[in-house]
Amino acid sequence: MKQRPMRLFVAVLAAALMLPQAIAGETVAVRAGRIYPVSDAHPWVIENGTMLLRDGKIIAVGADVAVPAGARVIELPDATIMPGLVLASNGLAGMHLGEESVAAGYRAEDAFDRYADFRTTLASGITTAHLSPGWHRLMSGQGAVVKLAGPSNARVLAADTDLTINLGPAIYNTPRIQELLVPPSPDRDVEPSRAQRPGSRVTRFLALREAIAEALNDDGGEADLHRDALRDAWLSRQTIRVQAQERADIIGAASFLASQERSGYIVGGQQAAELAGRLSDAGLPLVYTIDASFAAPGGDIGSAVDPLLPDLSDLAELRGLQLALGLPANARVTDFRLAAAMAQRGGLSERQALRAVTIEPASILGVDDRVGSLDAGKDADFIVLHGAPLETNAHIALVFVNGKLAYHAPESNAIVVKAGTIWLGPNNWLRDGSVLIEDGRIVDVGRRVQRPPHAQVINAGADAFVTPGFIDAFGHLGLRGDNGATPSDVNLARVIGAPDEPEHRVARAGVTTVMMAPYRFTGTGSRFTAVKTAGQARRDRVVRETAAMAFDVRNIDAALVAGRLKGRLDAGKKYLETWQKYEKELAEWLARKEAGELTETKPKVVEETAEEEAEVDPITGTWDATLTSEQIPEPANAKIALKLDGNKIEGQVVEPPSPIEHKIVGELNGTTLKGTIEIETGGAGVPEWEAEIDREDHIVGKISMGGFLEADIEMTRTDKGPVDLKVVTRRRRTQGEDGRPLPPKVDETLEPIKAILEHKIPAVVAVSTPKQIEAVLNLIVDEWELPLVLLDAQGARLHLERLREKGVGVIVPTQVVRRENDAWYNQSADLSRGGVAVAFQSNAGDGARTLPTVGLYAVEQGLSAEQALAALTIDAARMYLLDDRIGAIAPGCDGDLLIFSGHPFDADSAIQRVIINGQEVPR
Amino acid sequence: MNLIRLHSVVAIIAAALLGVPAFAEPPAKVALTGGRIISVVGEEIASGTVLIEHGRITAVGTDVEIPFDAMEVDCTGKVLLPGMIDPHSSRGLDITNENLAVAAFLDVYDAIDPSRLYFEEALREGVTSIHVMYGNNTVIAGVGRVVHPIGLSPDEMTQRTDTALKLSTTPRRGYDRMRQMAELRETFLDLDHYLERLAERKYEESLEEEEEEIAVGPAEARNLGRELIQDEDYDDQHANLVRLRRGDLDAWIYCGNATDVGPAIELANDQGMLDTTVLVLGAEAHKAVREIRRAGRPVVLAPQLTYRERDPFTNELSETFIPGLFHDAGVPFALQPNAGGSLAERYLNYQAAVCVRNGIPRQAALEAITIAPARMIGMEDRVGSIETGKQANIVIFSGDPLDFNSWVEQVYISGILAYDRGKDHRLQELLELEAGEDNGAADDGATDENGGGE
Repeated sequence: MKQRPMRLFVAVLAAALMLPQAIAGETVAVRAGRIYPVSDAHPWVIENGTMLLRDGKIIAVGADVAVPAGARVIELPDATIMPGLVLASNGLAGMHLGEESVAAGYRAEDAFDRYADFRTTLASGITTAHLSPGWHRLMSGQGAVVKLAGPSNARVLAADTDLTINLGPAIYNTPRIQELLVPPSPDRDVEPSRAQRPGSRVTRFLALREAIAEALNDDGGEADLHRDALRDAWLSRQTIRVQAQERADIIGAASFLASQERSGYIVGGQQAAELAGRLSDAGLPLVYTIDASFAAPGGDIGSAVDPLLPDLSDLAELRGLQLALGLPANARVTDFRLAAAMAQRGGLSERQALRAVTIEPASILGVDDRVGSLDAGKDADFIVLHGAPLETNAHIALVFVNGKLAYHAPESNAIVVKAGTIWLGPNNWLRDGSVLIEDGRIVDVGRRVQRPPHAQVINAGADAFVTPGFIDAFGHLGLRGDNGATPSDVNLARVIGAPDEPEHRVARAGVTTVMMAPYRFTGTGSRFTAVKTAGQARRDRVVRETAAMAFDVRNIDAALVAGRLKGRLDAGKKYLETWQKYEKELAEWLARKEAGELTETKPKVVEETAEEEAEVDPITGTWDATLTSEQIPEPANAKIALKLDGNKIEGQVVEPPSPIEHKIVGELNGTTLKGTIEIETGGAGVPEWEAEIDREDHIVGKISMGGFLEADIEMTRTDKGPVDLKVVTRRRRTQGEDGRPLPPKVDETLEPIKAILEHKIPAVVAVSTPKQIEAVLNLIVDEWELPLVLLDAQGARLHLERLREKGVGVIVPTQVVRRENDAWYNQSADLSRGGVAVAFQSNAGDGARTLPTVGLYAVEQGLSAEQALAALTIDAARMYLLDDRIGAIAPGCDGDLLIFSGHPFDADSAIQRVIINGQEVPR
Repeated sequence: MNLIRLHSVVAIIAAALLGVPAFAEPPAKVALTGGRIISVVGEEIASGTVLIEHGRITAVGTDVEIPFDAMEVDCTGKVLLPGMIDPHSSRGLDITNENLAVAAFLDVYDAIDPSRLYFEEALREGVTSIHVMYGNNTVIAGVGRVVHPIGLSPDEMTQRTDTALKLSTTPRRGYDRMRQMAELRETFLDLDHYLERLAERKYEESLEEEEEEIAVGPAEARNLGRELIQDEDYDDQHANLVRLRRGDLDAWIYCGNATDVGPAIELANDQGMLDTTVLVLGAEAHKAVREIRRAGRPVVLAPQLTYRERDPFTNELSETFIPGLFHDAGVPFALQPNAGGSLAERYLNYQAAVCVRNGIPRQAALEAITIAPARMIGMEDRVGSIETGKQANIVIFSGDPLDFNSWVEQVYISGILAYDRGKDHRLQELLELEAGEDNGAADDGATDENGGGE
């Protein structure tokens, strides 16, 4: 099977998105890194837990839940799962616009839009909300509990859950009631408008008692919806919800409820919190409303308490108090999770805070049989997030309601990797750090990095060790056994396409970049291409098309090495100079153009002529021609070169230079010439000509082309010298139409040499003997001062000093430890100890997979683990002058990361995840 | 522009003084011959005759014998369509809604203004039946009626009275959903209460007449009294609500949004009037199409046929073609002209053509402007198709009615030639004006005085 690297998150999302179509009766297993069931029946956190869902309900939760055969499995190893948040207090329903002060007949359920798109609210994790009929009347009506997603007929979880009583200044502003006569009649008087209670705090409980008494005493008078509703609610002992902010009101409410022997709960803020002890004694739960105006604080506070940071320590200590968290009517509901997170600062423990936004509000609202925790039998309403449930910058990725995906975060190109150790370089470890990768590049590295909206978060754990992706400094991955040498003008990048199975295996082993090289090099050099082992297409995979130019001098006598290489360098230098000249001219021309100094000039043409001896004959030579016709306004003059070979004539217009390719051909018979002008006319036929040598060095004739052109021609020979028609073809413009200098011709064989001379890429030279190394060092490093990498270089230890001073790296042979002079010798350790940078090679195709093990063996054989890591990463990147792209974990570099369970060269460490260009390579 | 305004003012004065085109006694027999007949209920007839006798269609077909005394009208090359039906319009009223939220005692009869240019336009556009209803800004508004767009008084125009009572589950202005629903519930609660009191009173009255003492409990008394109630006993405020419950009046319930559909169906169920309920939908209400299908009730679709919505996250615009959803769900639907839309959308046949363009079969689209609304207004035995026995409401188009190059040439209402394009002076003036001034503003002149309609 062909595996294409695909972002895990997308895969997860795709799997999750299929859930809405879940077949009835189908079992779905969700596996997650951490599950917070918020249930007494389970541990607080289940690591690597499984949750089974069927028909929108949870059927099992636990660490070792058996997944039934045939169940669909969704793997979310990085994610945390927790119950959907239950928002017990908010302003979602608005308030009713009725005028009655006591009106139990208003139902918050009616205000709920069962078809609305609540995704912006779901995005903050809220799946269930209480709806209040309003905060503006003494008895504003009856509340409801709803879900924010699902089919319209299933969204209302519970209607008429409570009778809502409000206490506080807002309720005293009661409108007068005017009864209208409908239809108007002259027989009946219009009654004066009627004032309503309570007009002030004095009558608030009196008004309630009156209303209740009136409702219970059905006198059979006028029909009254609100009176009937109050009677029904009161007789069915409906829960009383008291929304009050002030101390006196809360105390009054507690005694009112006690006197009426009713159960209920208080919704209030700071002053309610201060009365927590009293509420606890009275057995009244509290929905504590937190100010969540984080988005727009502003304004003075004017009280001792910071509303954004209330002191909840009293609440935390009162175990007997049932506590839920909610929001005031005017708060943004999307900040609810953050408000709950902040409640921990006020003194709540994580457990208290999390319970207070899930199971406790569900219990207070009477819907804990359906929502609020992840228990078998409850609705499958849960949140999938990255981070701890109440971590400030945790990210909610998916929200499920009734087992169906109700919200998914927009796709993001950002990924944050958190780990116990991040390897920044030899002996430079970042502890408890994070790396942010965005659009394939590393953007930020540090103890805490920013998290863009909807970024995927990989929390690798405290033991995890993150390194840059490994580099195979010399490999053949992707050549598929084509072991020939490639000429110096051929780019290996052209064989690269989408990665296949071998590339995938190499990538999974941790090798993220291969310096792709042919098996053998040609005498004029061969090119390397730096290529990633994963990516969708060539575009994503190629790091640098021509990453190095390599020469092999292993089989050349040391004395001849310099000469062989110098020839190429000289040619390259000459080539470079033509380009430098052009660039200089172009710069001057652009400067002049900028300054407006340029006037229209004719393009310059360089004639590169070659002398050639030839016999003098009546035709051969240069002729001045004059063309006259009625069809052209004035006679045209031209210089024509003609050549006679036997009786065949060949020729060309020399001046003015013809913009199109053409050839004059013909035959000479005595003094008569006849022929055509071969020219591409697009099917219009070719011009024909006929002429006569009327005297020596003088020709007259006609040119005709179909019916279009009739012209007389007269020619006089000006030069009898031999003409070489090839001269004309070698004419080359050096200027564009506007006088701009034109670039020299690109010579692909010399382009890489030019890049070396410009210090853009290194020269890689395969050497074996110390003498060869010396010759190469003398020429390339000392004489030419060019970047150099030595390949194999078995005698390198004899030049340790020079290599270190000149910063020449060595790609050590595949055989890390070899026998030399009857002794086992680890070249990498030796060079490294001497301060020379080394890199490892695979010299193989998918054998690059073994590279990390080669490094491990080198360590076992004496190389320091840190140096080995550098050899696989930053040192190899530096040799190829690619350290701004690969081999390092630094802002600007490619997002190539390896996550190990420990130090890569510890025996018990294993590679766990591979990220290439910011995308995880799937298993 | 001034000239156009002046023109329209003159036109209105002329209309007010002279009345809309007066019509004479219908000729006893008319034969429309040679035209293509789209009867809507059967196969199209490529070239046939419709025989009209005393305002009714007496024969349709290819071999209809034309009586010697019939006036023959040659319709060769023309297309005959049943007169179109505007299923729900407040544009003929001088006020669309009263200030009272609950006003079941009202009848649109009192508000119909025959001089409204709307009626003249309706005729010009080929609409022969208009279901005049109160607007949507209400809790319970009054009773509607069906009129045709000719006549000098509401009485003359009326085709059918007491069609339906208008209700709304979408909050009226100044209301929210809680208050809207509370008032609806309160109204019917009050009705129950009223009926109980009325029954008790009737029983007591009957005892008084017979000079007997009350011998039964209140519940039994109410039962006995209920038998005694006559229609005239109901007071104005409750009479129409009683008729609504009994099914004598249909319930046309406005649902502006999808979430209003559930309460509307629940209300209709609770009051035992679901079988006589028609839902008048706003554009967003199409989201409740499954709920509506389950309820099995027909709908009047919003004038705006395409619903556009932006995704809150991606800001992507999505479009839904509303009639397509209802057609696919098998819900009977009627189309409305879009008075607030483009000039073209004011034509019912254009609305039908848009449906065809969006994949609805031609037959279904034609039904949605003829026989489907006829069924909803309880007049399928009289209008909505070209069939023997039906009222002769026929529109003669110059070409296919769904081709927008076609003109309405003539309109027959009950066999009377009610409209003739050749004699439509206002249209001709308008066309001349437009041709003369060559600007696009000319249509303002004809429709300036519509009156704000819902």
